[in-house]
Amino acid sequence: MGTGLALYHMLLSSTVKANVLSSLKLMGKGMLGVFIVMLLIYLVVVILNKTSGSKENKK
Amino acid sequence: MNEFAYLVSGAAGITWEMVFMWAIGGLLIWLAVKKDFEPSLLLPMGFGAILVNLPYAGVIGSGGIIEWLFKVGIDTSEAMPLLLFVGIGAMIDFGPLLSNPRMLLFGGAAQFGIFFTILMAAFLGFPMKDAMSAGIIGAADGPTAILVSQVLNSSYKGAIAVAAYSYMALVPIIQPAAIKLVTTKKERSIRMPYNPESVSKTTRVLFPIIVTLIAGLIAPKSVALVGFLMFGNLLRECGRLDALAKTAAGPLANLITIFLGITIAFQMRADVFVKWDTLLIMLLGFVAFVFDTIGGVCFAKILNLFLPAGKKINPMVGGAGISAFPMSARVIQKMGLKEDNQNHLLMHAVGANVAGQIGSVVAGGIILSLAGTILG
Repeated sequence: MGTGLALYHMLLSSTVKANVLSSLKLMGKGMLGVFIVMLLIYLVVVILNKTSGSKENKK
Repeated sequence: MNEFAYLVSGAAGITWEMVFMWAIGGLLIWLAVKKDFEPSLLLPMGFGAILVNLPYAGVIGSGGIIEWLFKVGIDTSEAMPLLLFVGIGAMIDFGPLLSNPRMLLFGGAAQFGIFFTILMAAFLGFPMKDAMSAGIIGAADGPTAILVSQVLNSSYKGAIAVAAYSYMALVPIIQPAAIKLVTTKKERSIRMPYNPESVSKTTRVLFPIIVTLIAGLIAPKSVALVGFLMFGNLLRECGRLDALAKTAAGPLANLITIFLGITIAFQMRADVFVKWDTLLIMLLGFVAFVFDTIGGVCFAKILNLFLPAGKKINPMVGGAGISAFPMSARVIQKMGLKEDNQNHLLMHAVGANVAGQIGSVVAGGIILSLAGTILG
């Protein structure tokens, strides 16, 4: 484990390490953002289906 | 003799890189004509790759038509991919998604490949703007990939466009292999009865407006992508503008498609395309498609842990949450029937697939929004 970490630090330059960290943050924030948007759309569609569907059925 | 030198000046200017690009152009045309792989884009791109790689080509440089098209249609405003989105929006029927809205979640999960590929690209030493552009190949959506790589000013715009469209065409080969890698035969045989709820006209009309508002408020940079896609869909669903909707879905989309491919070829000049990194970008694009599929499938498997028996989701449907429509949905239907000839997953997969079209543009917008803080 120690050897692996040492190899990792040796192989990656500081810029690459910073970019890898940025990408991990981007992955977390990006997937969270996508899911929040999709969940909100999901909720709105469910509400729309419930409300407008029943109104138009009555008509 | 020197008076006739002009006859051979073109031939004398040929380099091996140009010949290599002719071969690439020829390959794209062959894939389009012989294999029917995304012919509407690969053929113009292939021919364009030959055009821009002729020595002293009159289509590039000052006054060159392809360079002008690129500057006006893509570089200055990203007008071409965005206008194409109006046409795509007018083509999409969100009905299967609206009647089964939980499929939206798969449109989110199957964007995982984008972010995983960004991580891989960063690990391989690509600068962040190029890593993010390589990741967006996983949007499985040509216009989004072109727009994001253009806005981020990636050095690999040509390779990214080629990869996005080529892998979209290869979905019937890539997805079954990726799905089989992470599912068992039993999981692939899960049946999903299709009991769609009826979708009111009000829902159909309000949907594009609400999606634009939500996406625009959470990821403002996605407004151009989502907004143009949803504008096209509103034309389709409003019921009052049939002529405009048909024009957007037909002649407009066709006109843009004709010139988009040949314009993108501007980025396939030998001097910017022929380098080892291009090959790496193509490989990363493959990784993006594989992990998009795996992301969607694994998300379905996680959901299944909480769902009662009889309500379980066939994990393959999660894999259809990518934007490559309708290829991905068809692949899932075919795979479902292969495991159980009475298991029809098409409508579920279509729902996830159109959700993927929303998910991919939202992911593209979020990347552009976050790029501001990451790139400074």
